[in-house]
Amino acid sequence: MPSLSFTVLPGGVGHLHDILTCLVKFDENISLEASSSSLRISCLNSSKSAHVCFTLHALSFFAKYKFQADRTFNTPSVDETWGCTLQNRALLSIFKKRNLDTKEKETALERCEFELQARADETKCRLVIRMICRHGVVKTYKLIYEPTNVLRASFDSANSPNHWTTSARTLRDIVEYFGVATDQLDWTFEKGKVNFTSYTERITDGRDIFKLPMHTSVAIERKDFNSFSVQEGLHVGIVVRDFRAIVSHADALGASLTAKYSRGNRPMQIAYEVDGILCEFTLMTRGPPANVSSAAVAIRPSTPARDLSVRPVQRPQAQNTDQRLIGRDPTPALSATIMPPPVANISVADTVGPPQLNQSMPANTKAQQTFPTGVPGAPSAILDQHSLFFPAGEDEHFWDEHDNDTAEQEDFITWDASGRGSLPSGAARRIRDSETATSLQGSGRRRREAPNAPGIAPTQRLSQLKGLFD
Amino acid sequence: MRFKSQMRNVSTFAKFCASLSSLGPIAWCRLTDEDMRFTVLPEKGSQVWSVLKIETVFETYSLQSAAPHNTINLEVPIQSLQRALRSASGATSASIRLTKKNNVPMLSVTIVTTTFSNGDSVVGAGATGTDDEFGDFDFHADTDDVGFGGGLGGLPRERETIITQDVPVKVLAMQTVEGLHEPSTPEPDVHIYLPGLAQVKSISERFTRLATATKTGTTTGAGPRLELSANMHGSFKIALQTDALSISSVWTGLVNPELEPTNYPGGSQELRDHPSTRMRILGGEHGENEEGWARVRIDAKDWNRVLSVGRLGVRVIACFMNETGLVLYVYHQGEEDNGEETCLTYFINSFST
Repeated sequence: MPSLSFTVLPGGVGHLHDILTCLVKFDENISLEASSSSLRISCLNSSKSAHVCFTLHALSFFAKYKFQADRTFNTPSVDETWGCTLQNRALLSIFKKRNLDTKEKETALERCEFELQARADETKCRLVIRMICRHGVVKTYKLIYEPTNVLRASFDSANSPNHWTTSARTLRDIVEYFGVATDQLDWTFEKGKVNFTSYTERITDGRDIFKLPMHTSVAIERKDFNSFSVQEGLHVGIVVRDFRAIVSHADALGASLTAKYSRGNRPMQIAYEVDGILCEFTLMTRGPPANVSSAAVAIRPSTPARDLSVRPVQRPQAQNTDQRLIGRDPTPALSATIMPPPVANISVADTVGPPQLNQSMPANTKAQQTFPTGVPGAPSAILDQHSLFFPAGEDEHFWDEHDNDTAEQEDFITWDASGRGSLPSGAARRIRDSETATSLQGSGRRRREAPNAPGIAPTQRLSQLKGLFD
Repeated sequence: MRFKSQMRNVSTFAKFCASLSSLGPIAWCRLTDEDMRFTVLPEKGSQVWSVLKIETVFETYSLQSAAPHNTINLEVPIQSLQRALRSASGATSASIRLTKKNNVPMLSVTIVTTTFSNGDSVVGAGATGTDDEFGDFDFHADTDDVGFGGGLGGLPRERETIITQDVPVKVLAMQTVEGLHEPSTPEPDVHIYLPGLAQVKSISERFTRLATATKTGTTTGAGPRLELSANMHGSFKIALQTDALSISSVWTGLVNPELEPTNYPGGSQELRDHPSTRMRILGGEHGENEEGWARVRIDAKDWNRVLSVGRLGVRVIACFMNETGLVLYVYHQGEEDNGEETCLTYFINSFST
């Protein structure tokens, strides 16, 4: 059985509180992953569009840190880990702000001890957290956990040429201007100015127009950035709520954060490191907002490049393509675009068949209401010239609606279980920046595996289920 | 249809919008060459009709419309506009214009702010927490001289941020607004300058809380009501009566403004027959008689919303129509005293007993 114990001093406990409050803005569960060099606290949001990972370094963050991996079913590997999932709410109630106030309190916290109880001779497996306070007051919490293999996001920074670094303070000042209810954030660099635009993509008419929040754009100068290297005119969009969560956490740490990305519709990573905490946010981005993208081509034929790329899971393109196109193009041309990739590149997800058209119809009708074809400026199947692999437009709607359209979410799974056997850490599953994974290290290995690993689909697509609307 | 303007006193404009937004989410805004009128007509509760003088908040003002009298009528989500304007507090320059984006008409507020950051060490500046990055704006604007932002090594460096806030609006056709008129009210029985609204508001709110706290379980859904009354002898009273308690606060020594005879077709003769003259006599020599008081009963929460106009720094004349209603004329004390003042008129109905 693995053994894990560590001690955190009050300052670190404060950091833990900040980390947990940041994580809770993404998902209600968190994962812990211990290795001999660090402890990772991470989560993946329910729409699987954002992965947040805090790496606490064993030496610099903890007062004491001890980890011994499970020796019983051991694979000869250096990088052994132990992972579990638990509810963030449980931890948050332990690391409450007021419990952490060290000043002028009789029972101020002196240290926090953490221990994993998972010995073979014990009947109960628990995470035990002891808050050791002054005058011998000890608060003990025992938490239930679920052992899991923790997901990791793999982000290929080598292939992300665009990057900038700035202080969280600068970004916080920008975020403060944003309207309360906006959901999308787009940024671009044009004419020496960096534009942050927060908007909501909802076409409404009549009185509903007032439900549209403000459209805010903030232009700051390049010199507000410590370092800046971004392709001019490139639009990248993320969710405002995520950005707010990141900025407020980074600001509390007084950090200076670095963003790296390649282009819209590809992952972006925002990272900073303070006091032995490495914070990495891997976010899916979207392309330009509808009103920015240029003239539309309704359908793009199946791009060879796209089929070649191993997409561990066909991203929501199928659904989205349907939504975009069905109104104006009744021909089944889109089935061409949603064909599974060639056999040579088979990965688990490929066994997932293409979603069936009729099953996405309910979503479709909805989409048509939201985007009446007659309205100019509605994001009508717009292609982005920068986008090499799939039409930029097809993702846009997806990222918009992920709050209320769970059917779509379920079809979007980015982790790749096919790499399971081959990954060094035995079972660390990764969210993969799939394009780069293929082009770099991934492709060779995968091809080898392909014949003997038909694999199991990570999740059944909802569209394959017979649902209410069939 | 065009509207474009450079703003000044943005914070006044923002406060003005904030006062309006407490009454209802949407305001009807009428732009003409002379003024900007905002009207909030909530489904229930008090309504406000206001006139904003161009020079109070606008430096330059250009308006073009095909409608008669060069008028633009808009429906504006007033809270969004207020938020947009609030982000302009302390800005170097702020302008507002009517635009169209994706076929949605927008009031677009463009704000330019200038701050200083320390050379290369943006991080340092951020980390050490210059709390007043925004509070300092006025100072920056004043010292915004040539050479200051320039290359003096080690000195703070100027940086410019441009913020655009687009507030979606709806353009109203002339015929939509034709039927809307200010309510006509009878001549007031009592008119009086109210004491400072901060006082009135804090007392009203305390009374409201007391009313809610002492409320017996059986009362119907209606919220607590306050009784406001005034006489022509400089007294104004807020009173609350519930099953459990009866309290009142009285201000004395207030001023009852003189009516201007020229405003009345009958001149001073008509003034002698004016209800307020009668009320003054009824009140007795020193206002000791109960008959001299005009009363209204109003919804306490609604009244507290009306009082939020106090943030503008205002003079308020209250006109009491006994048992009928209350009209508040709220004058904004602008910097220039040119007689033409920004005025908000609140119409508040009285409940019957």
